[in-house]
Amino acid sequence: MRLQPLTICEKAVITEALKSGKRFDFRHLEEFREVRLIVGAEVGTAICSIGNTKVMAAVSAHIAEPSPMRPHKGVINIDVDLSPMANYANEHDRLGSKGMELIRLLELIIRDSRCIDVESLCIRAGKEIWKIRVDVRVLDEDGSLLDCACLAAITALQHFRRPNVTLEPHHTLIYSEYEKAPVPLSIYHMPICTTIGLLDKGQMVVIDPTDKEAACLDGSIVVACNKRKEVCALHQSTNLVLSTKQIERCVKLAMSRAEALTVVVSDVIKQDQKERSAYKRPEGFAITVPELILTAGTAAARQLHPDVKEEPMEEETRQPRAYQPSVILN
Amino acid sequence: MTIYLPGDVVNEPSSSDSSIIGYGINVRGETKVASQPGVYRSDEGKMWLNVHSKRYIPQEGDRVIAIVTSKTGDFFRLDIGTAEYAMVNFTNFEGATKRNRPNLKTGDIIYASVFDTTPRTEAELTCVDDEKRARGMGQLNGGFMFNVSLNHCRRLIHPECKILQTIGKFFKFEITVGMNGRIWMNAAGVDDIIKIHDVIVKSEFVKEDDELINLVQNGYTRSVSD
Repeated sequence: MRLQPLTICEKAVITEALKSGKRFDFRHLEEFREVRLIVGAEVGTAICSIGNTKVMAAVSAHIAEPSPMRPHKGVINIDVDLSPMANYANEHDRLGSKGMELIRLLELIIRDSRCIDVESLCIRAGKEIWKIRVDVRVLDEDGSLLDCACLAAITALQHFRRPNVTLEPHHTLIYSEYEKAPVPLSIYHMPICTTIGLLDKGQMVVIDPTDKEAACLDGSIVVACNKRKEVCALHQSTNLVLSTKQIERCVKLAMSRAEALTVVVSDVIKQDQKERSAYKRPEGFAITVPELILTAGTAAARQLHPDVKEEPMEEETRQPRAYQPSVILN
Repeated sequence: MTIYLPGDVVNEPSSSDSSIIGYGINVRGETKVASQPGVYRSDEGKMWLNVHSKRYIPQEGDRVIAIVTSKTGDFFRLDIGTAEYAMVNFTNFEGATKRNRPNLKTGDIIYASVFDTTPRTEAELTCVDDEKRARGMGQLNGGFMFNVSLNHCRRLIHPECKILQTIGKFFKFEITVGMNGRIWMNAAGVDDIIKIHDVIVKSEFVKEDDELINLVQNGYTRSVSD
């Protein structure tokens, strides 16, 4: 399926609004959308949403043989799924140019910035290593996709615990979580992405653009950095010529963002750990379920609260009715 | 209130004398079958299902907002939010002849009504009625277009719906609601457009009148730039 084309009137109004510093969601040009970060009941899963953009990441590990070139280093694989659910212009199982850009940048940020200690993933040099797989699943798309995907992946990696192992002379023992506490990955730093839209040939910056805004912009620059003020990746999506000053400004913005988000991620992880160590059952993704699901019943203005007709029925048929209260109440 | 799921036979006492079958119901010979999950509604010879959806399925007689995507031969190719493109003939505009063609560019939007939805072909639209008069249809100039869910669109144009009336007490604006979930509107400035856009999008989940008035009032007094 194709995407709804951008109309001339939309582009004119959004550009005019942006140039006068106004946005359709009442944000400033240099204001971010609200970030929601939720870790799942399973270790190594996280959902991150920035505005309407929503990405889920899941981390898993299994034992594999290392490559002969790097016999004592673990492997991190990143897999991205851009489903038609997120944006119906996406095709199932085919990444397209946007997906390729996303997966390359995630690899650059997570693997090539060496934020994870791959040597600690080695079990037996040249024989057995841990292979970490990060599945990034895009659930909804509304701009700043890379920020969201990166944050979800980093949180999931922080949340992940791999099974504990002990080495015996001829075999390796893998313990379940009930026998020996699982081990977290050793993560050196948390690279955090920030998408900065550029308007007016880079004269103006629009932070965290939505999909519609991004379509009206001249281009965007993505800066990944960590709280120690190190730039891990810099990516510009269009061939716009930017001056050093402009890039420096973007990097500065990204650094303050990275500091703020690092605190959020570590808070979420700490909170989860506290609850787990108190043997509290983790709530997981249940809290992400929206309260307002159906609005069809409210459509006719006068029949906002129709009386629910309780039809007399037998005990057996009464049972399935209980499964659809949201439909009736709405 | 009755809820139908796709495939259910619509068996309402009032359905026998309904002459106009609306959204979500298919007629198969004598029986009427629901094609969408939704709440049954009927009104003076009309019946339809109220469905929460965002994907538009063309129905004859619907007024929709279409985006021009290209010109091919005698037709403009339009995007109306359906799986396939729709078409409109050059001559189906008010005052248009073979020589005097309407000047539409890619990305322009028009308000048109659906008049042919033969299965397995592209839907055909027209910007004139049977008397070759536009009656409000045609190109929409300036303004801003955005999408909401289809049932919110139906609610907005319901005669007893208070949303647009209430907004009208605070703002001066023009609005066109397409049945395909698109809304075009124009107001005095960008500030007003942003505010009205916000109010309309948020009003989808508003139920009570007081709540609605509060929402519009807050939208009116809110400043866009801070």
